[in-house]
Amino acid sequence: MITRVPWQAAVWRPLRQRPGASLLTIIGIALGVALGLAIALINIQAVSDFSAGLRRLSGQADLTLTAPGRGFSEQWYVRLSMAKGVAVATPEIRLQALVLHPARKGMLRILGIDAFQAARMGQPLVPPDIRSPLALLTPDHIALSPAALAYLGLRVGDTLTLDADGQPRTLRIIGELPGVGDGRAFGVMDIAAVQWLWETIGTLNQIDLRLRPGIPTANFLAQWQRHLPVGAVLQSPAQQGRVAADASRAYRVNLLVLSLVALFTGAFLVYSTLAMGVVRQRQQLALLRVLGLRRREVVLAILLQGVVLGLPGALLGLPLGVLAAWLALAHMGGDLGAGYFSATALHLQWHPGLLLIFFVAGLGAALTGAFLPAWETSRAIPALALRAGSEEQAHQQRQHPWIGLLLLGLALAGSLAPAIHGIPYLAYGAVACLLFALLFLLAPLLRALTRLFPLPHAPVWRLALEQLRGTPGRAAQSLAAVVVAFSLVVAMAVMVGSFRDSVANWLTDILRADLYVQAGMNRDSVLPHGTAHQLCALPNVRACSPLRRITLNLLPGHPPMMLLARGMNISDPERELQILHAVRVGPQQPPPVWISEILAGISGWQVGRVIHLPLGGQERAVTIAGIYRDYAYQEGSVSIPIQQYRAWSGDDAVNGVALWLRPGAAIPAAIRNLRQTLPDGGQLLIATPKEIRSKSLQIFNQSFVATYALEAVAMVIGLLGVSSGFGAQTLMRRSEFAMLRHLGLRRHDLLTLLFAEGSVLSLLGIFIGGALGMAISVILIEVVNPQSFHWHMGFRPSWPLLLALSAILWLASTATMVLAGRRAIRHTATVLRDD
Amino acid sequence: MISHLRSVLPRKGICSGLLVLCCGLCGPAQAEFSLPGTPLPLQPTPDVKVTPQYPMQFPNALGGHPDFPIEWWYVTGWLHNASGKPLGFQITFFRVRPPKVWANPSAFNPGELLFAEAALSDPRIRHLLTAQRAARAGLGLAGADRDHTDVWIRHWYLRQRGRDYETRINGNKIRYRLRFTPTQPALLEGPQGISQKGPDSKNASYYYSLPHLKVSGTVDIKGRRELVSGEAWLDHEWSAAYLPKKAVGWDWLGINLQDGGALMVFMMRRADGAPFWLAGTERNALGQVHYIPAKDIHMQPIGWWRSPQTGIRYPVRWQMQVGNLHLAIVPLMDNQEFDASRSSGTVYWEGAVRAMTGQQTVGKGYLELTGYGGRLALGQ
Repeated sequence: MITRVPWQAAVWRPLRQRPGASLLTIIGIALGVALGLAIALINIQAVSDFSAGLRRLSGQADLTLTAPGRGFSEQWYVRLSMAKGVAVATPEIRLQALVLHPARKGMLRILGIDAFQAARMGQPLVPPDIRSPLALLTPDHIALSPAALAYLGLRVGDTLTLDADGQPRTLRIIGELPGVGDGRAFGVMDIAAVQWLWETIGTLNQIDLRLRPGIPTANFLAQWQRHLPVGAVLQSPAQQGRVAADASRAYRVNLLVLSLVALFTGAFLVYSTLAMGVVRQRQQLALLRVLGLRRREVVLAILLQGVVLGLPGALLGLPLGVLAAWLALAHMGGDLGAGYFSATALHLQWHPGLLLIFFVAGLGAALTGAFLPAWETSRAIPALALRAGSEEQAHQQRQHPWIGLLLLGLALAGSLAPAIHGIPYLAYGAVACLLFALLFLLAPLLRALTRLFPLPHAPVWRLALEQLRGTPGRAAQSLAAVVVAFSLVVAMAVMVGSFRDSVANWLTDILRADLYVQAGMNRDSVLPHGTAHQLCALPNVRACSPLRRITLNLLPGHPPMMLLARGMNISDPERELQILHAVRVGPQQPPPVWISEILAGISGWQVGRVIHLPLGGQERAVTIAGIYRDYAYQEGSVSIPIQQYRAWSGDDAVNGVALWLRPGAAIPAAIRNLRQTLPDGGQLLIATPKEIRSKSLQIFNQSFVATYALEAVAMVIGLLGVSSGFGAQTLMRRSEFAMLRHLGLRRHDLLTLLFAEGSVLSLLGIFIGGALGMAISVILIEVVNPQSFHWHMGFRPSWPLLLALSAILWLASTATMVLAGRRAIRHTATVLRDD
Repeated sequence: MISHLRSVLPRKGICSGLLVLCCGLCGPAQAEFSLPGTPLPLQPTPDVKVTPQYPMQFPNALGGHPDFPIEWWYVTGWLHNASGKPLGFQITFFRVRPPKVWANPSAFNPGELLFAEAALSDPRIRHLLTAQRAARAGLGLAGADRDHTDVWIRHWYLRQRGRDYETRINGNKIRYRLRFTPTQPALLEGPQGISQKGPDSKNASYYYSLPHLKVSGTVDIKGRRELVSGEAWLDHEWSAAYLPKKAVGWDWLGINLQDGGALMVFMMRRADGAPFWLAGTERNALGQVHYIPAKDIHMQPIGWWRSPQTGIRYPVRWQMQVGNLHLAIVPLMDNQEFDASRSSGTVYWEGAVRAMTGQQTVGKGYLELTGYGGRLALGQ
């Protein structure tokens, strides 16, 4: 059957006649495929490397007992080692240490292990070429992973200085660990040395277990689940990897959806190119029909045009995508700067399945874009189509506003639907419905909008407006891609702007003290004993609030969350927290705690509910007195008055102190005074709220770098659509321009006409795209973000930014149109003669 | 007996399982480098030596001696199952005190390390089945009791139970649960329990043996359990001293003679294979002990076996004259090489042997051949 389609006449030649538009379309598809593939590759790599690394590091362990923060007593190791059914048990301490030398290298993850047990477990934590086990037992020796050596720029035999619980410790690098392929940077030391140097004697925070052959893991779990240290979790390494991967899943899905936007825009590009082409081919196709080509063969011919555009586009996109992924992994890490995975370079692997999926997606996008023009063309009546001047008539026929309205209805339904497995798939679907609705509603909207304008007196402008009023279908085709792209840009700009605004507002609200003193860059660093008291006793200090930060396992199947114990006033928690909901806790009820909005979203807990916190080896009942806004801890946080925390945990360490100064005290003088008064004052991190705020917003901006890049690509693809669509449209109107020229309009007037048409069209596109973008941003802000990340934000579009974006698009789009149309007004005399 | 360990103590030689560790004892001191802040404090090193001023005394000798850098308990023997088929077995627990011990209050502080090695010689399988463990002492998970023989790594142990000894080994391929009942008093392997290892008086160890232990219990070979009985030999030896630098290894033999007598003989061997030091102890059926001087000991290899795995050649058949005993030493099977190269970098031969006079078996015991694979690169 395919042989019956005249390849040259119906497929190849129409595309060849417009090489520019065809090439741009191919590039658009290629960019869409490349972007989607790059993001997917990075995601897969990050997660698979992460969990594979985790599995390899845990050796042949069947189960892992972990507790965040201070961990549990080492007696649990003894108990589990000798437990029935356990073949091998390995004790571990995991912590982060600040690297003092080489300077400015940040934190290094340290694993304190028992090399004898690690070897029995088959864990790759011992350098293979080590000559003597004694070397591994020496307290000032460390072995580094290949990634750590590379990152620190050190070699075996060099020394490294770490901050060990406030003391600088120089360690000798005795070997390189076997790589586990995930590029994680860490160092391995003897467990006794870690307990000693970091003052964690008597405690562990991980035990890996291998069970005896024939002991089912589930049975062992069931037997031990109720007899574990409080706050610890016993799970398989695979589960552990899943929990970690789940934590970043919403973010990754979000990014993937955004990356598909580019492909989506590509599909619109194919649509506008082919729709335009089909109109030009109308007579040829009608002739072919008359000559005996069947309707479905016409459909096939147009779809084949889609394939001719999609195939090279998709093929070109694959290497581009791999290249982009490689560059991104090498420079940004697997989370593209969002902070979910440790920021070490990953190695790209070969994923033929994924390449195939994106190849098919690229081709599919092209076919989707080709389908509507194909279907419409096949429905045209050949005899009518053979008549000249029937192009716009065809457009009129093609409009099905009711489909658009139906899609709008679906979008509304989708945005009201709940999340599925914590991912707002239906809300993403609603966004897609909104965009597709545009396809059907753009032409009617354009017609309605152009009729709103009164016809101006200036003849050229009058002509331009009349042209647009008369042919909204054509205009819609050239505009579709850029409207889609712009609406997404607007949506993201509004969303990110609102988010940023909410974060800034929140920071202002919670950073009410005059100075914040931190023990160190590490979240776990604690102030030297007594420093908190000294700080509070300084002459200029009016009030102070110590902060203790520890991680807790609160929800099974979720990563640990942060417990924030601080000097709170129970009757006025708003000094420290931005409270969203609150409830009074009576004296008979368990003591109050406050939970973050994120934790409330993950757990489904409401105010007034009694929960249990694993503190000091016991489950402590507490009442949720309120829910507060917190953008700092993505896994969720709980705030508790520090007196209560100390009474329960017996832990009086302090990570930081917030200080309120006496009226009139100058902040720089206070900082100087503070550094001089305290023995280790030079090492403390002291920041003003202003500094913290600007640093936080800087981090915020960094985490949206990937988003901005995606938007830019979508915009470029949209502009390609404008160029190819408007160019094709003006070319079709060559005879019209020639006639106008003949009627006395100067070349300059024709350019003005093009400018007038272009600018009005761009303006309308911006208006419609902007409105659509607002609608999408509402879905993003009100549905996607709360469902994905459990955080809420106000709807606060940044109007200056939107105006600037609109101006840029208006300029770019108008310029594109004028440039694309200039070709059509050249050689008007020849055209007229031909006619 | 002079176990393979010993040669590890000297810086040449062959370590067995344990002993890469020992390289710390023999290797050059590690380069010191300055630590900023306070240097990490060390525990004082106990000043101990093997000297006739402190003769071996029971029951103190039975337990561990944590101040000494190295100590081991070593049981070897011949077993037979219900159908009378012979098996050889060995179990060794080593206790090592590293040359430097930090004053670290952690329960994991590696102030004392324990190693266990076990091997089974089954002529039906025709190579050794082995199992090994290593651990730091502490937390009750591994250790050596000071008061009586009780040394363990988790579920593995060798301990006194009343007059008897019990052992349990739980490897992948082999498991033992054996009970040893002494039938004779302890045999001191030198005057006052001190066994001289070379011409320098510091090269010595405290060393006693329990020959002719009656064995009963079970052995699992590759998951198949067999009831066994037989006769064994226990050595307990501890030392602070380095062995002669000129020795590369040794050949050691311990035989339960069928008339109730017992014979221990060893040769410290030079790199060229010539004897550096020879010594032996014979206790006859009447219980009379003779310490045999080097001039009365002649050990002559008469049959060699080359390991197909490592290519190392071992003298597995010997002709010996010790005092007035003339013995031919014949292995239960040729391949009794213990390859611990994966864990400790050491390979040695340790196997069940018969002592023959003419065509008649006059005793059964164990032969240990170390240092044939060349010296270990022990941190030098």
